[in-house]
Amino acid sequence: MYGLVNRGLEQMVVTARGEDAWTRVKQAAGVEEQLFMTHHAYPDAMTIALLGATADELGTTMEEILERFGEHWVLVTAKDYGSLLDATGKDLSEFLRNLPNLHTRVALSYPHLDPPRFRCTEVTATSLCLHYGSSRRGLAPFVRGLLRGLAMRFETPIDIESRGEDPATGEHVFVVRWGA
Amino acid sequence: MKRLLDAAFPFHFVIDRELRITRVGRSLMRAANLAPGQLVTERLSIQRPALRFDFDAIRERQSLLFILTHPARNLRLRGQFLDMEEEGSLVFVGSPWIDEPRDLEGLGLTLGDFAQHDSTLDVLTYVQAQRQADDDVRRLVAKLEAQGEELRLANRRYQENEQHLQRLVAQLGEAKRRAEEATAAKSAFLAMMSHELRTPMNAVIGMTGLLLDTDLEPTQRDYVGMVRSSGDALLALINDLLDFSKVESGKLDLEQQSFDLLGVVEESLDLVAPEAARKGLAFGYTVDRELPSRVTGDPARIRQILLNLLSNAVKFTAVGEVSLAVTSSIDEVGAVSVTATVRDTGIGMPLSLQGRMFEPFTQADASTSRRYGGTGLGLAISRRLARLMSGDVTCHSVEGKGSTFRFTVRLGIPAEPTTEPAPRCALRLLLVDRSEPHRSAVSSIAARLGHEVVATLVPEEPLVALPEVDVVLLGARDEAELAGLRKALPPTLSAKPVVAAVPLGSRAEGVAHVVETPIKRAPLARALERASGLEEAVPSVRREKREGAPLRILVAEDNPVNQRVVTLMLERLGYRADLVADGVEALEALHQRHYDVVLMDVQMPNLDGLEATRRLRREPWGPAVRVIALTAGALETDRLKCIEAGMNGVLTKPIALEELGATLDGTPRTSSNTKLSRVSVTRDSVAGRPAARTPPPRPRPLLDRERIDGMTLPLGVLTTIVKLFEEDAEQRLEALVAAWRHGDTERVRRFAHALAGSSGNIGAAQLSDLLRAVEAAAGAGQLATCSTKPEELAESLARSRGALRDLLGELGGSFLATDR
Repeated sequence: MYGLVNRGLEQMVVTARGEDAWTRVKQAAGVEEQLFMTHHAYPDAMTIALLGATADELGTTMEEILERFGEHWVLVTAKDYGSLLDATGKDLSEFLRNLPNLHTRVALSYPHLDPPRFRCTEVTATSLCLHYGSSRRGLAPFVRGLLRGLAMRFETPIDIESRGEDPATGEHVFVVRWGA
Repeated sequence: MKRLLDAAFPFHFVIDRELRITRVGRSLMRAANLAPGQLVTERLSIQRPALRFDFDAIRERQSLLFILTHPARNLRLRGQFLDMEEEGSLVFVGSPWIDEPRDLEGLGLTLGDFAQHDSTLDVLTYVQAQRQADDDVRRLVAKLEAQGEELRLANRRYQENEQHLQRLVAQLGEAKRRAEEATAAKSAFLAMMSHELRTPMNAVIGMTGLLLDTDLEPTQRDYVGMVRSSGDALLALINDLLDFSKVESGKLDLEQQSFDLLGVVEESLDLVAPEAARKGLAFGYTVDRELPSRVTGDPARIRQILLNLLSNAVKFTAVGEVSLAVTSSIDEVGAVSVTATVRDTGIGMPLSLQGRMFEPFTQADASTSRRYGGTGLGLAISRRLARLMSGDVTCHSVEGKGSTFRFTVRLGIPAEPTTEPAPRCALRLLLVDRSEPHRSAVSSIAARLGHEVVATLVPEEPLVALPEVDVVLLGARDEAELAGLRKALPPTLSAKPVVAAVPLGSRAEGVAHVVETPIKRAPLARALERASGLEEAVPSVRREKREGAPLRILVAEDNPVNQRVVTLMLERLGYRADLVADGVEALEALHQRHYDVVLMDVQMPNLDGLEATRRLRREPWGPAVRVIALTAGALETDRLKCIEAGMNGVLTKPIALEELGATLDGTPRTSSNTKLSRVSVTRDSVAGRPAARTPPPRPRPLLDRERIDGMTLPLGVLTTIVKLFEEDAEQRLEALVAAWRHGDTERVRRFAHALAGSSGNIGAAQLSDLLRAVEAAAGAGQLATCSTKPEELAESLARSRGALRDLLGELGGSFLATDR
């Protein structure tokens, strides 16, 4: 994964527990990097190890950490792309519907990016089905966190229903409802 | 067409020839607030190329890239004009030129406002990514700068530390220099003070010694005795302090010489045995059979430690026993680790004291010092010495039960053969002794001598079939037990030669061959050989404390250990001596008081023994003093140097008790004149002293009447002594002549030395001088060219016997009356 992700995790841990906690997380994960370069691709295993060590440091589960990291990603990390995020949609529905294009455009600037795949179906005025696919396994809780973060960003209370993985496509399906 | 254009170019507009807007794309309409019917010039102007809005001019340049601006909305559009001939209009297709992502929000644009082929958003994403990269670089630079600053700080601290360190090193160097100066000053001060203290102390001790030799009232004798013992104690303290300070300052040089370790053990035991016997203590030792005969190390220091531990044990034990066990093991690099364990059943010490036992000036309490004496430095010195020799001294003690001190030391093994000299004949011994430790110790010593204990017998145990034995060795704690053992011997053994081993001071009535316990090798070897008929018996005369007309002895020796050893040996022999620490002090003492004999260490600080003797001999009274060298040099050249310097004899260290005794026996006592009368004594007036630098000595008469008169003995006693001398001299002379014929130079020297001493003592001056000449020649290995021949000795002895008998007749005694 790009250093942007690891930096995002660092921000989250430092905000929650301070620099020393992040040093401990890195030590526990066996990571010696002093800082992460945003545009440098680091091994996925390093990010997974950091996430695991963060869960240990914060005394919680991997799933919980992924969800918290998803929220943090939207609310803090992606702020560097604030204007572009703003331009992605004026509301939650538009934003989610623009998610595929957003990732496609970002991939132009990050040539080694292996971005997740999103598509929306069953779009109504108050709901839609978000299909999430990725070459990486086990990151669905992160997407759940992203959705919570977006709900906070657009100040739109939502209900997320996870329908699990669609065996036909291998995509994880979330039903997102709002404005009820 | 219109919808297609709007989808593909949401930022397009169409103008007619009047420059009126006829259509506007959905995104441009919102971003630029354009609407159909408006004149384009009201909202937009052309920035590039350089022309004004003019329908034909634009149509002619439709291949160019146009940049239009909307100043009111801060909007720039990039694109091109296309001629729509069929409609008579121009269409502008393009998109906003945005290089700042924030401007999207200002223009109210979203992703949906751009056609998917439009790269504007991608450029903005790329710009944002580049900014993040720039941020990374800035963070990296900041981090590097911070690390650089840390490095600079660390470097500055390092430099400061280095400077501090250099200052410390300089200060340490200065402190070391000052400490060395102070140490040198302290050493000089100690040396000076020791000299200044010892000189008057020597005078006090010497004078009280002289005073003790005069007629004193009992109370006066007590008082003087106290002065003398206090002086001795003070001198011992001064010497201990000097020794301790030498150890502490690291200035102690340990010897590395090959020596007989068991000999050192035996000497140490020998020196403490009289006190143990006086107190009635059981005093024994065992030695590991594997203990090497010779080792490499510092014998004097090992003896010092052993003596300290043994004398402490005896000192603090009122009843019971003191024992020494010596064990050894050889390690993988060929060094030998020796452990000497001294156990006693004495007063012991509380646990609280055991930890401090080895600190200087530590004794159980003040009353211990008062009651038992001692400086409290002995154990401190012993432990430090042991540690210098890669060992230690440790202690385990139970108050009221006794103490165990363990002394360990690591020694080398010399390359020379370490076997004991073989006996003339291996004897089979029967050992009769109730004490198992004694039996074990005797077996071990006998084995070292090449003999074998083939059977042991304990009187209370059933008699078993005994093998054939050569000698019966009876071990008893006292005379009564010895008598019991003899009585209990089976008839088959009563005819066998018997050797009795009894504590020092015990009588052994009816037994011809006696050795003192603790048993040492040499006396046991002699007793066994004599008992078995391998060596002719000589009268066994126990040394008694010498009373009256004692020799005046001065010991000049700088090494406190040797001082102690010589003093103890002299005490053992019944003498008392004054001590000085170098040649200067020796000459001072000799100027103040008269001494019969000086035991002079050859190597001493300030003034060595050789030079001190030369200066002594230059004094008008100097030749009257007999000077015996104490030297570690065992070579003949060492001996000759001593003789050339004017010394009368040489004792090689380690000094053997018997040899010292024999040497002193050969020293005539001068009259007990306690006044400082040496000025009136000339060399010539004192017969029997070989004068320095004046060989050969003046021939003396057959008998030294002055010497005989000086003995002031009752006639009966004198007669007995003469008789004993005759018997002894005859045997020894026979042995000497036999050794001479066999070319055994060493035995000749020994017999000559011993016989010269006894001849001199009895006043047979000529015989003594002849024997001294033989002794010197034998010692120099020049017996063949010796001017004195065996026949002369026999003749001189015969003439001396005649003269002595005549003299006794003159004195009114009847030699014949007491003759056999």
